[in-house]
Amino acid sequence: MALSLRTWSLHGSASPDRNSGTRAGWWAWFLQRLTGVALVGYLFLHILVISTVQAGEDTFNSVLIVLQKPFFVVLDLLLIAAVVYHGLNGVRVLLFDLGIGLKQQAGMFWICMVLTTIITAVAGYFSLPLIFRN
Amino acid sequence: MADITLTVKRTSTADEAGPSWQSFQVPEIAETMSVLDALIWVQQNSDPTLAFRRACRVKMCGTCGVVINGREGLACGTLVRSLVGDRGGEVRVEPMRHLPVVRDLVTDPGVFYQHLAGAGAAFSPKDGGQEPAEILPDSKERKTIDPHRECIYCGLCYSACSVAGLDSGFLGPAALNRAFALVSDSRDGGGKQRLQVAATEQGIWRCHTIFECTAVCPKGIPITAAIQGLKRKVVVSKLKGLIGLDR
Amino acid sequence: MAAPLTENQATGVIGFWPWFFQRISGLLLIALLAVHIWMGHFSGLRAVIEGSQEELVLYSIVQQRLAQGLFVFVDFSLLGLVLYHGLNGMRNILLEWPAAARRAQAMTLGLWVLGAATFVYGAWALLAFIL
Repeated sequence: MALSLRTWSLHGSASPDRNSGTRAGWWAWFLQRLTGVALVGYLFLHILVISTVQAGEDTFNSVLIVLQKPFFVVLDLLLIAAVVYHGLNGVRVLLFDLGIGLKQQAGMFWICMVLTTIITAVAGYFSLPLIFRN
Repeated sequence: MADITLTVKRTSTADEAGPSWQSFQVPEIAETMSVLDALIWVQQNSDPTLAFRRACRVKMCGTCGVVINGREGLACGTLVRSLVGDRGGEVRVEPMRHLPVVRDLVTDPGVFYQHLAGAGAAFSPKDGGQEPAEILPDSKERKTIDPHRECIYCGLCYSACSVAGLDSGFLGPAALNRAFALVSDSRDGGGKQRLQVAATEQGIWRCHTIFECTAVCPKGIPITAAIQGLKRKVVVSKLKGLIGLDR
Repeated sequence: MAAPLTENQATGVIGFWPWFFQRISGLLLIALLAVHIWMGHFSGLRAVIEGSQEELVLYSIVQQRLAQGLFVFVDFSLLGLVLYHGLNGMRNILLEWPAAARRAQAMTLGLWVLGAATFVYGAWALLAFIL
């Protein structure tokens, strides 16, 4: 997080109107970095959670029950959004490395954003019973 | 024609309080008035101590690079009209980023030039090359290198580059663009060594394809494409080396 | 400020392999994560919606999934690849900090040790489901 904040403070607020208008390439990179750092943080938490199984089945189950409460299901949706965006933008960057789409980079960023929104929305729809269960 | 408000970020060498914004009322003297015209008007009519650089005034020399309304641009090449329309308004001008400010809008381009030198920006002719060497106008090579040879070294790409701001050791867009132009030029004798100088973690691998350099280049050079071109050259030579095809 | 490289300092192509493997691991992760997320969560979710499964995903269900051969392969590959990709990404960000860049070798070694230790820990956790 601190690294993302540093990125932001050096560039996001360097000038009050630094990011006025569409800075697609800049946002694509900033979000890639933000989601990347967040996903690394999640990765360690995920491994920690799974490892509670070594403390026994009951401990593992009690952790899983907490993590399936509506609040955490909503967090899971954020996770889905981060993973999907990071992956899609990763493909975008990979295409640039192959020399493809350099002139369409801004449009490709918006495609990533739209697809991320759609996929997260679909996942959100299927998660509704988990969020609003009795 | 309406007046415009020209707001300039000013830094005085004697002032330890840091930079401050100062606004000037400037008449729009012509529809084709550039930001540089407005700066000159202020210097001549309001405040002779306003410091900025300029030389050719026609987008050729790359001396008057500044940040205008948050976006890098040549002061001479940016029309006031394109910023505020015909009703007047505010134009904000500040010095280029990632370079030390000398005074007001004047920055010290030392780091920028150092990186150009570091990337080996000087042309070094091939031994025994034909003189004068020629690359025909309709050849593929000419089409590849021509856009990248347009650089006027104004430093706007360096100012716009987010990575250069995070890491002053990063060679930066202009130096890498120059490296690409030379590597792709059959008259240059730098060869593999040019690739080695550019292909470091403070060279091409540091570029995150943010495209800010390409967006602000006053000569419309596809700078990001040049850096990507260098990356592909290295990938090809590395993979060839791996399966023993490099000899 | 770090001094610009001179031609003598650059004896070879530096930083190519981390850059290259970041892309390779990224591509593999897309495929493996798709399997991991889809089968791990949404197949279970569909069962919940259809009412053929208990509402909560608990040990027995996770254990059934993870003990399948495909999951053993997917999850161990994921663990290794995601650690490489994530920590290599962190290294890229950290290298922009002059203080970290000056100790680049020590930092890289530290990240490898962290990655290896986490892999062993994660593998130990996964083994509980398989054995």
